[in-house]
Amino acid sequence: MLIPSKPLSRRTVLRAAGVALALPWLEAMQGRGLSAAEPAAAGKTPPTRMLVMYAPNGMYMPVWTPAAEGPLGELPATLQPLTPHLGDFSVLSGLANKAPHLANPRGKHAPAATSFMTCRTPFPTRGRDVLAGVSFDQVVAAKLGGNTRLPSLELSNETPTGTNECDAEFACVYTMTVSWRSPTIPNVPEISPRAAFQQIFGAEGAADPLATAVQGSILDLVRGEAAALNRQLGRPDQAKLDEFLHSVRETERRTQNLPKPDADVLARCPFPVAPADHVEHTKLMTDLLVLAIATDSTRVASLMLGSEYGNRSFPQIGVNDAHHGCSHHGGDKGRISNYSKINVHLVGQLAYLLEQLKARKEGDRTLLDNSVVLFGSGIGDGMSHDYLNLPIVLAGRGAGLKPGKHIRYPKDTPAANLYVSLLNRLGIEQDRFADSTGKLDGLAG
Amino acid sequence: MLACPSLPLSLLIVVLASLGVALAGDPPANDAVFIDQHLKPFIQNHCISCHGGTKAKGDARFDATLTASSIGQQRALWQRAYFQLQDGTMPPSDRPQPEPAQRQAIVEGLHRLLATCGSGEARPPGRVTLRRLNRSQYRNTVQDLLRIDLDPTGLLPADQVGYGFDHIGDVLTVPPALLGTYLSMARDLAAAAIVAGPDEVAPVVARLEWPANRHFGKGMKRYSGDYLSKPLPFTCEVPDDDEYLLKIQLLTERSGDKPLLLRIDLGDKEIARLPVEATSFTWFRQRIRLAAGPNALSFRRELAEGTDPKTNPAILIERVLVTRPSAVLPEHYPEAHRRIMIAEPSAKLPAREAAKRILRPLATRAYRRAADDAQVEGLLKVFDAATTAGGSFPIAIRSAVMAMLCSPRFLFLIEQDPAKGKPDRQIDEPELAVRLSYFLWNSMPDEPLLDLATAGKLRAGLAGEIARMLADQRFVAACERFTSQWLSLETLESFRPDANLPEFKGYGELLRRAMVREPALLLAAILREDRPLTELISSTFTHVDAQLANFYGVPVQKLSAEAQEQLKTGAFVRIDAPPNRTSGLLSQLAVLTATSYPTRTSPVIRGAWILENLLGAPAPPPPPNIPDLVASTDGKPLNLRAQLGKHRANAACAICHDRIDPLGFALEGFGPMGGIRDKYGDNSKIDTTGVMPGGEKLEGVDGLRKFLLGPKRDAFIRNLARNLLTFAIARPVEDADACTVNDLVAAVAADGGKSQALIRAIIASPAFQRRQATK
Repeated sequence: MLIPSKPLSRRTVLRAAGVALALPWLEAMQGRGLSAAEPAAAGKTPPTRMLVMYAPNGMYMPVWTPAAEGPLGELPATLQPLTPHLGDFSVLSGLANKAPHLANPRGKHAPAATSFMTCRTPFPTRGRDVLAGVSFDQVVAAKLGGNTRLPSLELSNETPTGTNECDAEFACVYTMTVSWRSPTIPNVPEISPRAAFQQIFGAEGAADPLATAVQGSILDLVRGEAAALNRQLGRPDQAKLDEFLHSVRETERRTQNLPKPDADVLARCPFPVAPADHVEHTKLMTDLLVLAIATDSTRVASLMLGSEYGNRSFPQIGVNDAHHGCSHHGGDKGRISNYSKINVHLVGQLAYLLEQLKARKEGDRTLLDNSVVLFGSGIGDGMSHDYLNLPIVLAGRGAGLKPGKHIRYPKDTPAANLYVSLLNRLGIEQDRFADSTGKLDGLAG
Repeated sequence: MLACPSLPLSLLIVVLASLGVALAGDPPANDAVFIDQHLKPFIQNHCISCHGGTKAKGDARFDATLTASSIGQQRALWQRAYFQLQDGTMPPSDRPQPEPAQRQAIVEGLHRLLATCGSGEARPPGRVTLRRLNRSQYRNTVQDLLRIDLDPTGLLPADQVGYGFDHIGDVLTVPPALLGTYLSMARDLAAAAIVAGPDEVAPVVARLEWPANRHFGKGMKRYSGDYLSKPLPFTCEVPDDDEYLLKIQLLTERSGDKPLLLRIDLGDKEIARLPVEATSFTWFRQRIRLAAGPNALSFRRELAEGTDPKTNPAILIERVLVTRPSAVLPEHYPEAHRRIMIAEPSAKLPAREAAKRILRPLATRAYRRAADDAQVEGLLKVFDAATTAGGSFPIAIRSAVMAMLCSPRFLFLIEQDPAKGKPDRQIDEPELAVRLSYFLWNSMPDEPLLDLATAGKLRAGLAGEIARMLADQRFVAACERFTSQWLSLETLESFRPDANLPEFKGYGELLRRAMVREPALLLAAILREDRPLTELISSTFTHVDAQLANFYGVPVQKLSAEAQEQLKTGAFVRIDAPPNRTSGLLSQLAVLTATSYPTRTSPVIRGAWILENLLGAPAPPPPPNIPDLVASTDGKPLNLRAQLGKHRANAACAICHDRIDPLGFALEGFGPMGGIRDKYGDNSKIDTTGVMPGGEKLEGVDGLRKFLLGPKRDAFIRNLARNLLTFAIARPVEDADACTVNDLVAAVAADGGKSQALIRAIIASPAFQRRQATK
């Protein structure tokens, strides 16, 4: 039943649970602020985190794929920004996301984003009854995220614009979401840095005792009203109200044990909207992502570097051509050059993320050592919407990963095999995920 | 057509029959003759081989068995077939073509079949899924409810778009963090609307402020001079000896775990040490007695004992206000406060009773129907909790208002389902008031509308209410939501044109906002003045602000003195359309820019945009692995027209591009931001001619306008009706609604094409007036 008979006692329990769940690690983090670099208390193992960075519209593969297998040396042009992190990542070639694309004769960008981590075919609809599958990060969140304030955090840097359809017959949500909490509920990413900041650190002015008492009684009222309404509404309406009640429960959970706000980042979060410059926006969202995991507000997070089918230009790096437009380069040298420049820029965002993760110490390791970082796109060469050879980088040493090489997997190896392997390494016993056929070798040795 | 000598006799009969029938009132027997003797063989000969059985190209599949009712059930499919036969896209050019007269007869027969819906044919009301207020509705609603000019919605997640609009119940999700955002917005809104006490509104008698341009720059680094390790002096002059309240807005750097102190001195006497810790600009307060005349105040930073002085944390004072609470008058309170706080606790009126008097009428407006005792009691419980926790009366009312703004009764537009076993129900009058106000105002019902509905007199007085609502300023804002989405102008928000190109000179946020307002003002004027809908693409007037006037080259000095004054204030004025801008939307900046690349125009985007957004007949997405445009031949570069010409030589490409390209090339006289031109950048001449698959010749925007108002008039009106219906009822308009849409088109035609007929017909339709049961 959604409505507890004694709401107040339930909240008390939650609060008590919140205290009990305040992990030693979290306490340590809070006690010393965010920038200090003290060794972790003896015997405490920092948690493993998983981060995903999604690059839309594929990559120009001839300048992405390293020439040789084995230890990484000279990097191809697109991967150049990762040179300072040579030992910290692997390039995985040959992974395919075949099943979702084969089922769809049309529209390749919506499946590229939605299927990237679900490995499922999105149901073609212009909005009603969206349907995909649970994404792999959410399986991880169910395991790792149970004790943190946010089960997971989804961010993006691109505001959806109200076009009729985003890709053939597919609803826009498919092109702007990689994370799916359930097959029917997309984790629509947060785009406003300020709102993301509030998710991590809570709203300002919400902390005094009066405000806390009032908030408790408001949540009681909201639950009561929802229960009264629920009895009067038809089934589809109840489903919407259930989403609302989920949000009520999440609000209770999220107001526990808020970390100390980071003034420097807050000062960069413009109110009320995102920075007009999307490159600056991306950097800010990356900083927020790092803060969220560094404060242990969440252990699973993703950032989309734009929506699939996105058509922004990048005047900041001298590319006035539109992203999706030039991904369909048709072999034209100028367009390939622009496409590649954008790709180098996107890989540069990964480099920045890795740099930030390395800069934060946790005990004698860095945050990167405790993280699994997945970077990739749901298609390879944008020209043909190639889904048989996805550009994938796996970074970090979390979950026992041993990075630093280029691995080429046999033709048609499902991307889902990577996800099963990572699930297992993260302690989740599961033999299959979506269309997986086995596990990947070489990730840990 | 009748003069055509090769016309077969049987077809001649059909054509004559169809003409005669239109006059006589559509006897169904003639439909059967048309279907059996003409449509069936035509489909068999020209369509089935690609669109029959298991092969069904383009998602269009025809059955060999055809009846009037089977066509009625697949109206959307047949509508498409009708359009494509009419404009000559089908059958494809590499297939045997029907005789022109035969094509014409089929087109007319289909038109007659599709345009009529018997009174017995279904017009299902449909079911609107429970929908939350979207971002713009939330903003408008709180502003109208509380009468404050505050937009807190920056923290709301972007709304999900489906079926072209961002307010569809089925599509809008409730993200897990949403209630937290609602709480935080409600806190800001309640605090802005309700004043906690005289301190908050005390008149300012002196101030210390930095120049406004000090805000610019990145973050705190710009303030690094203001560590306040030295005193900051402030001489303030006050009128009388009295107790004053200092309000100090500041920001601090972190000082580790020790508090940072702000020391305030008056003359050489220390008055206070305030602990201050604020990661964003925050107000701190200090009461102080001042003497009439100048007072020498100063501020400086003190470090708490044990703070490492090397960290040298800054206190950055933004402004200091000296206020005088003893001088507060009623008019110092904001309008929102005065309208909400209509009762005050007194010896005769207990606080809870006063709260009830305040909260019941406010909740009735917020929930958009009479609040019942249980709902008011729920709000009073929040009032009690705040009182128990030590909150004053205004603070406790604020808390209850916060709760009101977080209640699902406020956040969702709620409608009752029909009683068990009933297929549908007429929505009640408060529900109707809500549908009306979110359709025509994109906001909540105001008091007159809600009162009428509560009294059960809305349906009787509907015509008067519609007229009142169209005249209201909120109607223009609703028009802008509609046009921005119908015309896909929201893509401009992320449009970053190549700033080095002269064609995009002046493009920026301000111009963007002005340009997307122009189509909205046109639609609003057409509807308010009951002008023909076709003026949307043929109007001889438009609305400009100073920026648009400048861009269009309007001779401002020739406008009336009043208009010139208005332009100076940033307002829009109505003007005669400038030369070459007499094609309504087609010649407006917003449309022309939204359909361009960041570097150049795209006839393909513009043509496809006309098909989809104006005619409702989108070209299907390109097949996978389409051959790309060939940029050169034998080493010689080809211009875009030549490239597209080569593209169309491929039959697979021609199916769509034959329809798309001529429409787009007709607009080539407008540059990528709508500027008028007759040459490309390389000095080559612009050719705006083209031929549609049906043989119509287009030249320039005038030719395009004539084409749209001639053969495509019906399609234009139908598509507009369909979009406006979707906007009005906030659910997808589907195949089952085809007869409802037909009724709308018929209502417009019956009123000579005038626009208000469409509004009235939408509101009168079962889709708007009734609600269907769950399947």
